[in-house]
Amino acid sequence: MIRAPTPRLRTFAVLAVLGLVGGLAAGRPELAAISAPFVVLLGVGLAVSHDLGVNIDVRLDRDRAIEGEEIMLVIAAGTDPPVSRLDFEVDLPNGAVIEGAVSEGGRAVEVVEHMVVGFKPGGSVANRLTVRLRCERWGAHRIGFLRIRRRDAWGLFAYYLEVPLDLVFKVFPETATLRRLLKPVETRLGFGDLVSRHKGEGLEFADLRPMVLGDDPRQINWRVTARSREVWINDRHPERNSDVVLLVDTLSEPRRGVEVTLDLAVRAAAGLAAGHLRRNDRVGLISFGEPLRWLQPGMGDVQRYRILDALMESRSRRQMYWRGVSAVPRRALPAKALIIGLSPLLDERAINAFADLRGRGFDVVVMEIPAEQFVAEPTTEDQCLARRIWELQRDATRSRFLRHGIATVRWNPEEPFQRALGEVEAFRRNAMRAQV
Amino acid sequence: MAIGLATGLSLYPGAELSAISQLVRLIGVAGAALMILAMVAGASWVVGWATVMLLVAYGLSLVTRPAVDPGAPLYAAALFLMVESAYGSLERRGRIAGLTGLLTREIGRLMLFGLTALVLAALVLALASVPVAPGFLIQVAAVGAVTAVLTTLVLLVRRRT
Repeated sequence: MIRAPTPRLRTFAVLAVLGLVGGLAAGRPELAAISAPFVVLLGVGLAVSHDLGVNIDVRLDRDRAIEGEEIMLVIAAGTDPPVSRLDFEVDLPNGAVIEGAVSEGGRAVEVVEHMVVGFKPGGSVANRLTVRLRCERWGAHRIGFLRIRRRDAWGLFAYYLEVPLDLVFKVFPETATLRRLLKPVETRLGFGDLVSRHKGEGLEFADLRPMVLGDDPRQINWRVTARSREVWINDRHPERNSDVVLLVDTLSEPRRGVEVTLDLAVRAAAGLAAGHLRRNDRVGLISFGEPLRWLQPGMGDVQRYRILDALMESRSRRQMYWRGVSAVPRRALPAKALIIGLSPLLDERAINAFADLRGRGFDVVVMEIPAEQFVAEPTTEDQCLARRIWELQRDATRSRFLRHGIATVRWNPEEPFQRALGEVEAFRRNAMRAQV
Repeated sequence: MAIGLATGLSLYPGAELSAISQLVRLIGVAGAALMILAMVAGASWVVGWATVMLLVAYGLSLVTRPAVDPGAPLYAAALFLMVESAYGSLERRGRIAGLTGLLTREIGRLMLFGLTALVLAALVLALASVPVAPGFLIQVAAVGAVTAVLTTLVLLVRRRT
């Protein structure tokens, strides 16, 4: 550990010199008497002070957690020679707080903000300190360093050491379980939980038709056949899966305090991904921002974690070069895919991209994250006017989407996401009925 | 505590003087003001300057005092307590403010240090009052002792830093 003299040592040294030399020069024993305590403490403190070696091992018990969960930062520390206490300062990321700390024997160690104070380290055999970190916000977090501090018993030297750590842990957003999900207009050929609109082999009854050569005799509807003079066959809807692409707009991030629209979008996207993957759909992700990122549709738990990992890196970074949605490869945007956009509808590039995708024949749904809640209330007359114009422009955007056949629903974060999905589904049902 | 002690220490040297009392009092008050500033602003480096000014004020007050000051051990203990409590208070601020039992331990430590300072200063004064015939050898011995003490401290500081 690095040892540095404290201001106390400097003051004591100056007082000792002044007292002794001044007393000698003036021939006054009082000055020598006044400096005596300082001389003695300085001498004793310097004589007993020593270098301090520390061996330390720091690790996390796991590197993934869900919002609200705790992960353990385990510090094994020993010093040579053994000392009574060490203080640790943890370089905590914004999304985590220290909830508490316990030493090896189960004794609670005091925590003050991001410091753990008064831990008794071991000697040659290290003592273990377990620091409980509560994950408050989703994201990929990094603990950069651990700073060890100690002050000697006489207060003359401060010891410190900064241990670089680079421990990374990912906190996934807490997602609500969605009971009902959006049904895409078109399904894929793969097996899934969705009842296809097409006819084929499946469980759901679709229609009756006369038997033709090559039909499976097990599909004969005997009741109808008995009442008529020809053989009738049950047609069924096959169970299929679909392609769902989540398009998270990270081009604009209005914020209020620590709340950001992107937080809501990421939480909703994580819930949708989990729900659709449970339904055996193929789910892909396009992080529509700067830079544009995408993840090809896939299935299963591996894909779920890929999506969550990609969502962790959703950030708005300004770039000079903008390629637009045309840069997304065809494989990341499969034909007939249901595209669910999560956007505050603030950036014109995102708005145009939704219209562009709809124009290319994709089934597009936009879940609008309400930006109004993140904008300060107008106070002056001019601000009120500007606000009204802005709201009119947003209404115009929604009307434009409606004309293009894009279902747009404003999600109120105070209400369950399931309700917004229900509204979209109702809109789509009515829209289809209108088309018929 | 540090501010109270600093105020008391600034007033003590000027109490019995008349000729240079104004200067002594001025330096003492400046020292006390610096101590207040150090405690309010949380600047530990100012504590040293405040203490030095108080010591200088006391040293100047001794110029016109013919006899040995019997209150010197008390002054020494008070000065020592002031420095310790000032640094202790500044160190407790902020990060480890909530440490349980720290204040109790700190008060106990201060009491012990104050008592030790009082005893040490009284011992030095007692040794100084031993009747020894003045002469060149005594002067040389005193200079030698002071030099030895300071050299030891310098060597220790150089080795430890």
